[in-house]
Amino acid sequence: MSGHDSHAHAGGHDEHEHKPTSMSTYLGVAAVLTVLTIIEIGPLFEWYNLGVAPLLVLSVVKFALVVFIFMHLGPDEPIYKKIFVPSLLLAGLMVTVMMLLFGSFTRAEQMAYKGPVLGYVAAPPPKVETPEGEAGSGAAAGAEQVAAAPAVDGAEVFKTNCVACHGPEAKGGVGPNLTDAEWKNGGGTLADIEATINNGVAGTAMISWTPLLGAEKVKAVSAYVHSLGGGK
Amino acid sequence: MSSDHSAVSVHEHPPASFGVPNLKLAFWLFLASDCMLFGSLIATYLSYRGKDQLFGNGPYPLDLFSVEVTTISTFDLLMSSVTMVLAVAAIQRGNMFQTRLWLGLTALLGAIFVGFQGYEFTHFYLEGLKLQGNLFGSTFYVLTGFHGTHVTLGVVWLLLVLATTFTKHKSMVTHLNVEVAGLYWHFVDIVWIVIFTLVYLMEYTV
Repeated sequence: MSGHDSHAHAGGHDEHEHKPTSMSTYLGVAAVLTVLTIIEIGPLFEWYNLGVAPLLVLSVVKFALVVFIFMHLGPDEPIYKKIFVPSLLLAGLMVTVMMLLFGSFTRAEQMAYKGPVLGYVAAPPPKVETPEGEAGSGAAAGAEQVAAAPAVDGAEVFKTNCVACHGPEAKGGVGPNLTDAEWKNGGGTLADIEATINNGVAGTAMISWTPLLGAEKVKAVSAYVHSLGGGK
Repeated sequence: MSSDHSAVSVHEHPPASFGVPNLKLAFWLFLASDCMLFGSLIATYLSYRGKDQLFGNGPYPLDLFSVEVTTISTFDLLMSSVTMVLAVAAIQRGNMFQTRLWLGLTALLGAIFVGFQGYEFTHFYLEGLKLQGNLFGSTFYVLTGFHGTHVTLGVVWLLLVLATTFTKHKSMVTHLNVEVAGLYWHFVDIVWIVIFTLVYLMEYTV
């Protein structure tokens, strides 16, 4: 035993340690942790509509029980508190600030902010298709529309929306190269490209662009991508 | 005052100038820095929370989460903290049989938790949540992946301590060493308490 003592003497800690936490305290804490966890998920779907605050309180209580009793931070030497508590508070402050700044508590559909969010552009109103009859009555008007179509510059649309993933020269980055003859998702005809841009590619960063750009810009940028050389 | 201070540090033996075991002091310092690691990962997760919905870029948390499964794994990890304090108490009493028993059980509960996480990751991945697919995927996998790695290392650590008690080096398994392993284990548990609330349960609130 004396050999053990000199071995562990670095602390001299075991000997003059504060009164060891009793077994009943440990088991009591275990019971409380169990009850709190049941409260968190059990009947709570009733009071989940109180928001996140009650959950945060419960989790802070569980956290504190483990830190102060299981990790002995409460009864142990004050130096450990001086080390740990400031870091914990800093980390907590950082999390809180980020949550508030970024509106982490707010669901997307509840966000009052309608402007651009991380590059998000509000969807344009759905285009009303020209009724068939009207098309027959004004061939001139139809021609005018065709002439007006190139007003949307596909290259411009590409530069604004696509370069982040496909690179400034469409040679690829996060997303695939669009200038070669290899088409990872869908084919390389003009219609295929337009379909991919319209529908997106599930499971990738390629989202459905129609709600963001509108049909006209999608057409323009499809033509642009098709013209880059990889198209068939 | 300052001369008083320097007199103390000259007098005391440098290896324990705070009057506490250096190992434990250093370990609390490590835990303090680990706090910042997880703080930044959680802050990142929360910053991007709900933003995928703006892009219509799923899958979203509620498409994937199963609160029942995660509650079981959370409870499993909480109970492993209980077995851990029992192991520390046992070695303090010098009861080697109970020390081994509780250490082994703690490692087992930890391994079960890692198993749950493996199941969850596989399930989420097959449901379309990719590491680079959307913001939720990236931040979720990185946060819970770092936590799962911590748990895995903890299991390895506990098993090493347990194995050492069966070798001729068993005198190395002191109360202090088991206690420090316990500190790590409890820390991993409290990080999960926070993750469980902020990542999982919060999704179900209004």
